[in-house]
Amino acid sequence: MTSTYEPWNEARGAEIIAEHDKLEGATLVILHALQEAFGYVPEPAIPMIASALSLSRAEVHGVFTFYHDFRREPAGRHVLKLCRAEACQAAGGDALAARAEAKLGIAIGNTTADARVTLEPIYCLGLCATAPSAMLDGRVVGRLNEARLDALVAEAQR
Amino acid sequence: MTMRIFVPRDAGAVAVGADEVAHGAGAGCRQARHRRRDRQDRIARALLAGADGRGRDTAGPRRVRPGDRRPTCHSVLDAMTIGGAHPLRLGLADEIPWLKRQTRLTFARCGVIDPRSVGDYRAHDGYKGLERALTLTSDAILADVTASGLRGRGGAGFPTGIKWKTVAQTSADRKYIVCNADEGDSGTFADRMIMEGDPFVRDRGHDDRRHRGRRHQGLHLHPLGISARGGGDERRDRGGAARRLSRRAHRRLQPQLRSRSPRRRRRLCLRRGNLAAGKPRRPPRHRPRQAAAARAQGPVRQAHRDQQRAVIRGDPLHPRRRRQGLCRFRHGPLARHDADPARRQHQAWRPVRGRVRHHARRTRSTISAAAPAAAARCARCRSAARSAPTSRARCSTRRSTTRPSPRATA
Repeated sequence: MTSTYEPWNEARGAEIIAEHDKLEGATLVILHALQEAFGYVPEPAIPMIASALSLSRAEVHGVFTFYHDFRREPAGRHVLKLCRAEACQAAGGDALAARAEAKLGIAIGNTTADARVTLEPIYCLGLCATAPSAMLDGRVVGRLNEARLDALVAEAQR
Repeated sequence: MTMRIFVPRDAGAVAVGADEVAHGAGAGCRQARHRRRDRQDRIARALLAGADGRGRDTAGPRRVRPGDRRPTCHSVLDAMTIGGAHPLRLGLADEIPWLKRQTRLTFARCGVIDPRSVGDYRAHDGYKGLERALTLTSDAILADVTASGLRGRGGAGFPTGIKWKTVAQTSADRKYIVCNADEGDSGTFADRMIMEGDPFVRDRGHDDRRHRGRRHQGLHLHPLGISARGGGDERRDRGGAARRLSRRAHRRLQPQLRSRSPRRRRRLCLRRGNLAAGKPRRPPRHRPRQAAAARAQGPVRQAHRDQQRAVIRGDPLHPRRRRQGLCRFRHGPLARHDADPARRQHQAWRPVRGRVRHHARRTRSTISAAAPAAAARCARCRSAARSAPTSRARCSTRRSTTRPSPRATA
């Protein structure tokens, strides 16, 4: 992702929460706003949201963990998501995933040490017709082969 | 005549390079570029089409095969401009045999209109049904829809008329229309074509129902594509729109889950789980005696009851609190909460004496009325105050009266 995020700051977090806590059903709105500001949802924010909304921490935690796109820690500058669903697996996605892991030197679900690339699995981009598919920072790419994957990885590492 | 170039922009085409084609075509021709969903996009990915007075001239699909020398889109465009031959040129769209035999109903507008333009949509008979619906009564609309035999687009094909009728007969102060456009099952995304190509159709379905039901709230859940209602900007950006969309959707969905009574909230959570699992909703319990009593009481009794309720609300130890749905102490099984380790670590959920537990979190209105009394009488807060001095300060604040943050107590 190209945008820069501010570092976690409790006062700023409280400010963001206070901006939205009058809404009906503000939990997701706040989680989104926090992720937008900090690039992830910091752990200390969960009890803050809970007390602002008169919810239990478990409830907020439940919402937070239900949606995989909410992050617990900052992502790399680029996020490469490889489709690991059935159709893409059938079209050779396993080998491509292994190749991407080897190229980046990390397992799926992790961020490289230089914080450039986060490699993530995704379960179906709805592009089964052009499987195997991937998504780099929100841009979908289909008909992956080794060469296209290498180009994609190189683009992410740039 | 200016030549207009159409390049599909559905996710399937973008994934195989429609953006690059559009970029190349734009750079090569220096002409206005029109990104539209093309009629043929499903079959012919990254299909180019140029249109002039004669109709649409098409080219594609372009598949990458090992050893292929990919012809640039410029050569295709040149061929189209001068009407010359090109291996990828397919000729007029309306003359291609498999397209010629099609009668498009659902997809009639896909590829013809700009999916983001309301004007285009209206110019192609959009909102006709809504305009008519606005002149009809609710019953007339129901009768029309039932007579039309319209069915849902889902697998069950449930008759729409019956569904709407059920909704109309249900009494509720707020009703929700949920359009699950998430298409989350892997390998489907069945309705993406129409959602990306003709999104206003879906909105119109909502509008029809909203008009009929008056107090409906619409929800769309769509992860990737062009989003739903609201400003034009949302239709322009893909990722952010979905985020805003789900944000808005949940803003509307959540009030149900923030119901005042914990018991009801638990039931709602359960129901939400059941709905997600496809189980039918349990019909509400019928309480004829209560309903009749409420009807007989009239406004005077109602005022009296309101007053009583306010008294009960102000007293955190009032014996009738539970009956009023203002859960003060938690009685009975707490299986879900006790099973949840995250919640178990809350002091507030631990039993204090015997069956009496510390009063549950309350809504703001209750807390503001009851705060001083709660601080004085609360057994847990006293004990918490002994162990953690910060809790006393928190007890006098409005929100944390009953539930200091787990961090503070830990």
